[in-house]
Amino acid sequence: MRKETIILIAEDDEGHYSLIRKNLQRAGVENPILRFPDGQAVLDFLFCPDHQNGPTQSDSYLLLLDIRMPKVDGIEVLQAIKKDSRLKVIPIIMVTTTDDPMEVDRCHQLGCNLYLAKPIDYDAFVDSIRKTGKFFSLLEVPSLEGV
Amino acid sequence: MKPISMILLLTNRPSGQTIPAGALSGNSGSYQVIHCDDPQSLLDGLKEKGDSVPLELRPCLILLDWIRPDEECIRIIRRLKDDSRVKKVPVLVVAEQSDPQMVRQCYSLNTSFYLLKPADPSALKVFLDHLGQFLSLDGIKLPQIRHRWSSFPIAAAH
Repeated sequence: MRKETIILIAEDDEGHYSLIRKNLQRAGVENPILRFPDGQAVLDFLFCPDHQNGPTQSDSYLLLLDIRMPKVDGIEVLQAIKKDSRLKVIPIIMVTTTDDPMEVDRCHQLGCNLYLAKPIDYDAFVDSIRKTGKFFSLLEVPSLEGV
Repeated sequence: MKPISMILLLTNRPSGQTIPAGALSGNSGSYQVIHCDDPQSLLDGLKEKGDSVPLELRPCLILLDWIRPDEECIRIIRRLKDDSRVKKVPVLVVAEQSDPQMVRQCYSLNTSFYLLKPADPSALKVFLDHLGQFLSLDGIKLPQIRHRWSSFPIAAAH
């Protein structure tokens, strides 16, 4: 993944966000990271062209998306992005404590690129995020332009 | 530990140049890798059989290992994503070249990820390590696949 690709993290839990960011960086991820504390905030960023520091056509984005969040939950965010012809190319990784098969199925049905359940165990959580960070280095992510 | 699941590896590479099955099977052997070097025949066979295919195999992940993404690769992704039996199965494209238009088209067709495979042997080793370690994560949750596929021109990779 190019170093310019911006990683968006929609996560209401400050502690989980810090843990994710810290361990992505420890895995060698040097990309800019933006945090959104709820689903509405990430939708405002992506869908409002006038949003301060909003998305630009020449940039590429990857979204780590929690499901249980205030205002607008992750499922609604996923649905809105994957329905949008310009934004649907953004890879979305659901990162959530829920591993209910019905919910996993629903997210895949709606077009999530990956569903990653957060392990309850701290060390396993750290390991999971670090391996995900290393996986990011293999990826090609398209910019929003050209649609 | 994860139950053993099947990865279907579709490729147009010459024999011996595809991703080794061992690199995908995960540290704990979570995946069985099935190799197919004639994807079009596989998909034609599936189409002919409809829903009445004999039940044997269930891919939970489909990996397209392509020399460089081309129209055939795109056709295969389209066919997979148009087939209600497998449309939910995550598809990963692995290629040595990265054409921005092709990358965009793959993601537009709901490919899960496009991975750039290095040609340099030491970088390739790192690539395979990172891919294998990631796939072995218990936290990866794949959709439930209720169909099975018959054994068309495919074979378990060694």
